[in-house]
Amino acid sequence: MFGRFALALAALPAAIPPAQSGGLHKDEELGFQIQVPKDWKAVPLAAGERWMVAKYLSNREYQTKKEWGYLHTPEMRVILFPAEVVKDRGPKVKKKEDGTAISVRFKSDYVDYKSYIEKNSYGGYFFDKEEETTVNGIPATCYEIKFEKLTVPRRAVAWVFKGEDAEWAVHFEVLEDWWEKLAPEFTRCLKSFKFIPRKGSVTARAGDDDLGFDTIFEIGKSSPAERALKRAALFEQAVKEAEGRLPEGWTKKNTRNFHAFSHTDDRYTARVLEQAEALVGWLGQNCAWVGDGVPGPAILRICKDREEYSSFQGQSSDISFVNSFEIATFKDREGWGSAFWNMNGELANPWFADKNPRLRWGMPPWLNEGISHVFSSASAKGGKVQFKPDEWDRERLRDIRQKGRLATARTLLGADDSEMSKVEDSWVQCGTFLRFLWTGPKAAQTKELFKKYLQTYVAVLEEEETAEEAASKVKEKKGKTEEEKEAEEEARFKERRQGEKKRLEEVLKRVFGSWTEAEWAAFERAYASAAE
Amino acid sequence: MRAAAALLLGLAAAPVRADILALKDGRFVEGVKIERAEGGYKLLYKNGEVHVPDELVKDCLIEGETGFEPRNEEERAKLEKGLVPFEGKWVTKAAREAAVGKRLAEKKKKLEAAKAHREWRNRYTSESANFKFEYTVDPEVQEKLRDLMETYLSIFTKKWGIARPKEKLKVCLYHDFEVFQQVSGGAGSLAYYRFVPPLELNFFYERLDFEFTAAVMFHEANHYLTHLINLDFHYPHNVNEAMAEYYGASQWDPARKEMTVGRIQEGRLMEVLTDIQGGQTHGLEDYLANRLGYDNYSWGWSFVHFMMETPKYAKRFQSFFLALGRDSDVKRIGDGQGRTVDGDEIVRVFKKHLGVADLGPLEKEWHEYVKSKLKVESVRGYEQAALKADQTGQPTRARRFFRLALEKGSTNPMVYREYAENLLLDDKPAEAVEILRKAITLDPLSAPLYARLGTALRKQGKKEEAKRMAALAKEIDPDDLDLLDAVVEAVGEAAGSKPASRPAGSK
Repeated sequence: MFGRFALALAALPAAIPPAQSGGLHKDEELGFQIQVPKDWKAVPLAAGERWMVAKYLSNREYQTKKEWGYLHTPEMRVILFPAEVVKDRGPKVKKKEDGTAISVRFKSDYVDYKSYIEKNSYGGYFFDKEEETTVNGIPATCYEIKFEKLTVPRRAVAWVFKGEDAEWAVHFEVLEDWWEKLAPEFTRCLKSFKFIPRKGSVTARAGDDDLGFDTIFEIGKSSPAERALKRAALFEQAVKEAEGRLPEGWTKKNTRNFHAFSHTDDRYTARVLEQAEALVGWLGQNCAWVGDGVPGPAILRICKDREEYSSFQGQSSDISFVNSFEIATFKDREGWGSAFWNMNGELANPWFADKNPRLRWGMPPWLNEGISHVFSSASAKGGKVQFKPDEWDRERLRDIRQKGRLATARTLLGADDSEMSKVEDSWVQCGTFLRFLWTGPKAAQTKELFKKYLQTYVAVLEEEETAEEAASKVKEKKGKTEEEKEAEEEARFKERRQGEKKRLEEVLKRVFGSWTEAEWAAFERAYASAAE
Repeated sequence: MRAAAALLLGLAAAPVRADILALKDGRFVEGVKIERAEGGYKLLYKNGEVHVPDELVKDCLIEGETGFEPRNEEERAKLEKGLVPFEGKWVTKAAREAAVGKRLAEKKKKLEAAKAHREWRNRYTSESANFKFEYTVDPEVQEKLRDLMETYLSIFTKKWGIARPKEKLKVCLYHDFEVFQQVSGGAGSLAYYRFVPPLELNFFYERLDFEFTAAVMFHEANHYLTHLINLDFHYPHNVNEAMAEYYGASQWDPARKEMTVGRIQEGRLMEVLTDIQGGQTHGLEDYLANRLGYDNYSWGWSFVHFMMETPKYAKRFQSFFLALGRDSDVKRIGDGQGRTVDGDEIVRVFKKHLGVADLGPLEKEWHEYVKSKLKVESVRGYEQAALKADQTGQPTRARRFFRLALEKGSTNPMVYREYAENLLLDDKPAEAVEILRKAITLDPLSAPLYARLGTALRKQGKKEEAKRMAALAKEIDPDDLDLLDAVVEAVGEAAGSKPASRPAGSK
């Protein structure tokens, strides 16, 4: 899992040109310019983006001409492949100073436009045309790509311009139904591509360094304070990158836990920040005991609408929250509430990851689903957080109860992943149960139940890790027969397969071991009543 | 593996001519000098020679080939007069060169055309009685699969009392997995049947394992065939996938014109047995109520196999399956694109048609069937058992099954490769080298095999030879080397090198 996170952040170039709207895109750092279709707007690039150097979105949405009327906003991307970076494809291997270990850092495997599209598109596609040409004296390969299977039909045109030390791919994409109408404008823009005197370096973004993202989640090898310092350094760099790539019309606002970049009005921005701060504040007040890590700030990207948000989310596939610390949302003009669902859900994960990575990546299934559900529908007003089920939740719960499928609290607490997959609407049920633990009526026995459960769970996780470390140091006995080895391997395999279940059972035993059946029955009644 | 096209680019010392080797598995080799050798062809890479036997070769173009060496005095005398043999006659060298030149030009054109067809925009198209094909495999491969599909449709529709389709189904067949993923959009799957209009079947040709290709075809085509029961109905995942897996193990004997169904899906059986070994079983109600998710492929298959292969249940189970799609008393629900049934209704209909009120005894019978009747006995079975054991961290068990698979006659190079990997981890490089050399005779142009051979030789201390093998692997096909190969090589080299910097305080 962490192998993917071992991609290093790039060093910042000296200055990055502000992204523009429509007209001419001129990038003096990288030394190129190209016309952009009229009224198209620049889309910001995520802080961790290393390949795309410009992105624009059409000023209007288009609909397919078929009955189902799928909506799509045409876009333009400029992707840079520096020769020095792409030639060195393999993993970077280094021996540690004391010679005891070897570290391997994986690099993104984009070497050209085709390999980039393979990982950064959706739907089945093929290259319908592939021709060589020259544009303003620059050799180029012209591609037309058809997206046909398992997707809404689209077409893309990409011209890859070959410079001395890099290739620039300029990619336009539109619904197939609108290709004939828009293609001439795309061609006009593509034909305008030119190199201009360059002030910076093409390798600045895609270079490699040793900031070591993977080590901010290592436990035991560094203290919480050391991890926090490292995180702060990476975050500062991420903020600088994000600021440097901010298009016109975006504003910045910092609060206690967020650096917000907003493309919408101040009032909505304030509302989003209020919600985000309230949720993170709630976690800090109510879950501070889950670990000794120091939660750090995040970048909050507030897009003007869903289209801009969707386009922003379409960054190069090799970045993730860990690389860029970004959480994105948008101004919800449709009134479905999905803008906050997404943002809320994304807020809790990094907080837990900072606070206690061991817990975050090893959460019991009911809590993993429960947090995701409860946070999604959470709301905040005046700094106060409310965890209430919405109408959809209530409808699902009614249906579950009618079918007699409401799982008991004991079932949810003891279910491993395989068992949880058999619980009807497990996301809703786990969320309902967690909401009950957080906000439901409290008998003396159950008042601090959530805290007691989670602390016990973390303790059991730590004991398991200690036992694993001890077992790995035990020297392998020589002279074992093949049968003995096979039997030992089988025993270890069984232990691993049953590991999650055993952990959950152990926690149940420690937390609820003293409970009588009557106490369980009362607890289950209270939960079932809360679920109505 | 990144080979998006079936082109292998040799990186030999500057080739002076454009020789091309076309393999039966659909790949092409270019950019390397080729010579005829006994029993096949020799490819002269910078880092070594690779022998490719005739049985793997479809065609070969060696530019400038004269092809004549005099074997006796009479032939030497003819050669001195300026004559060379050509198709049973003695002709002048110039005449032969002109004729051979023409042939070579035609062959080159044919090979270039075959290569061009690997691009989806240049795909072949053809039709049979019930299917419309679009494909990038060689026509000979498509014909084999086409015949299999027509036969399958004929047999299945007859057995299940299904009317023949009115329209032909579009079938898209790709020459390798990467192209399938890219063009079909089926990332994360091996194949798929698109069950909403336009109906379509997509799968790929696995060059190393035709039986696997056929199994995938049988599985996906089964979704189409069962869809024909009622085009407005979508069978739920549990019975849909389990039935497809049951038919996935079918086999057609063209000589006897017989189709055998109900064979063991060894891979799925191993998944079930591994679950049982790990202490996990699934109940019948959970399966019927559609709660097993991915395990419908393995546990579901084992249940359908139990039903269809047990005479007292087979007819009733078939009747249950048909009833879900057809009977008027079955309560169906919308699924957004058609109709289906939910878990509770599946259980009710099943109980009705099987005549049971309590699933307990049947569940017990099923579990007993799995443990006692389904056995791993074939080469493929042992291969699957070995791979599964390796995947689940049981290398000793894996080695036992690898040995059995090879003893039984496995010819799957991928299995040999995994076995060699296992031996290397068990610190047995000499054995690994032997296994990899055998694998290379089966698949002489597999870059990963040479890469692994390099690793094994390095562990034996044969560093120069190891380096040569690693370099040869990159020459043969750098795009076919996966990340693991690169990491293993890089780590191996680093392990033998000095640390990047001296520890603090040292001189």
